[in-house]
Amino acid sequence: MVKIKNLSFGYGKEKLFTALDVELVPGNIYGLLGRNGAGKTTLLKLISGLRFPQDGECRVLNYIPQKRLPGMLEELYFIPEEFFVPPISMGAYEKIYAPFYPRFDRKALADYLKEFDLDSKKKLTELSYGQKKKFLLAFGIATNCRICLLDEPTNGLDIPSKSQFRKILASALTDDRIIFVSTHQVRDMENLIDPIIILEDGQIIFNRYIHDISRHLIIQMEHDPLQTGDVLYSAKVLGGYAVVKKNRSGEESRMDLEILFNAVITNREKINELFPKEV
Amino acid sequence: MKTQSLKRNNYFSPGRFFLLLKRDFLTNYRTIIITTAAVAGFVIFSSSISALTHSREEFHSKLYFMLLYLGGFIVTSRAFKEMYNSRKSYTYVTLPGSTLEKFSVKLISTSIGYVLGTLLIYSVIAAISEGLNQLLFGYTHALLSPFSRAFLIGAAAFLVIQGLFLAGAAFFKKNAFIKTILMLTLLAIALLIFATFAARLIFPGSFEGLHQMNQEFNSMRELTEWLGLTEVRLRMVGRTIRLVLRILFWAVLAPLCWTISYLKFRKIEA
Repeated sequence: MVKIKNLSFGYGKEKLFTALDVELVPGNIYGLLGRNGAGKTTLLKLISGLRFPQDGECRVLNYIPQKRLPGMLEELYFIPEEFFVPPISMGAYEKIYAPFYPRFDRKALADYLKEFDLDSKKKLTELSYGQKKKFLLAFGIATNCRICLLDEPTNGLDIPSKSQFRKILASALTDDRIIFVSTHQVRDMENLIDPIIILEDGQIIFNRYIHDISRHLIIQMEHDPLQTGDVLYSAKVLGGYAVVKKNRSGEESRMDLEILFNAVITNREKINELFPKEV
Repeated sequence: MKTQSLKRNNYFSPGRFFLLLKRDFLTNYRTIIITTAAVAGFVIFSSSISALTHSREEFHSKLYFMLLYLGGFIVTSRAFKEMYNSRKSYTYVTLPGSTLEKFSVKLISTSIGYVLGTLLIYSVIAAISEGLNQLLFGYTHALLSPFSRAFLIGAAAFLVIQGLFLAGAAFFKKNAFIKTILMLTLLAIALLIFATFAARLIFPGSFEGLHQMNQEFNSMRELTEWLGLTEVRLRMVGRTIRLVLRILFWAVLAPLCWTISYLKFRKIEA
């Protein structure tokens, strides 16, 4: 559904991606993690046709995104971290923009707005940043697009809104849909994003399903990580050390995405060696 | 059959075109209302001053064309502003509509749409202002006559020159209006220099000692003798140059500018 092969891209002379390969298949909420400047937003822009690859291939639903053909755009919704809303009411926004999406679900939008406690008569410019974002998230999910690209969706949301968002997102996932979430707020997205994709140095350095990760890795608390063997990564936390080790028991363990991310960034070769093949 | 229809729809669909047109209008109608109110105030005020001094019969046609050209070029220069604004571009670019549909909306709304829209609005404002002038000063100016030859040529010339500003809007990220005027000025200077050099190459003898002489041509014969051409040949050259320039202006310039703008519009990254 989304296939990126040997893709290169950079800003000016500085290369961001060189020979990037990734494939996204329907029925998943992908979590895209990476440090600042790793290229998460750029990757979303390349998929949505906002930026053009300098080399290699990017295909979305068999379309070339840079052609920006309606057949692809009707099935793709992108919510960036920084956005603009016109000075019109939410109801007017729906009337103007919903007809562009053939499978737009007006009832679902009304339900999501109710869930987010938003009044559709209110003007978008009178809303707070978090409320604007909630409206765009609700609208984007109600489009029923097969590909939803969300850049830092939980930034600016208050605590109740984050859980409402998780609930809506989980219910919106269908077998023919890809939800691709770029985030730094891994704790907000825990138990929701799966697989996990980590972007570093212009490459996808990690791309695994959670059940696969927890079968091969275990994260546990230790008093002294030096006394135990097989430590791939350790971080001092309240009450001891969070330690990432090879899972020898084969039993699935609970994943802490923040610890996992740091472990992969600091010890990517050894961690990847533990996995038989990529998803 | 279904695939063919999908393929065709990926490039131009009237339904999507009108949705895009409606979106452009509904998201900009406040600006249109405020601008209309400001123009109405200006027209009524200046028309009453003109009526008070009983000056100029052609007041409205002159003011209309001033507003059409100046306002039209400014509006055209802002046609692709949304594409160059990082916070707005994502909505516009990812909006389901082909590049041709999006470009056509911008082209039509800033060219023929702008002419018809301003003509309608201005006619209403002019009628109101002349009603007031009649009541207050007992003097009125002639209203616009959109089917007169002068009006049609003026509007057609706007549609041609507008293409240059559309190309400017596609190429310049910021201050497109000023940059387009600057570019056109530089282009005019370059053409003048080129024409001078070309003339010197074609008629090398005619420029010998030109700076020293105080030459005045009292008849066509004197001019042809000086250039070393027959009168018939000179008239033919003149007619050919005029014809070529007319064809370039009325038939080539606008479509060329639209094509260049479209090609650039396709390649704008957000």
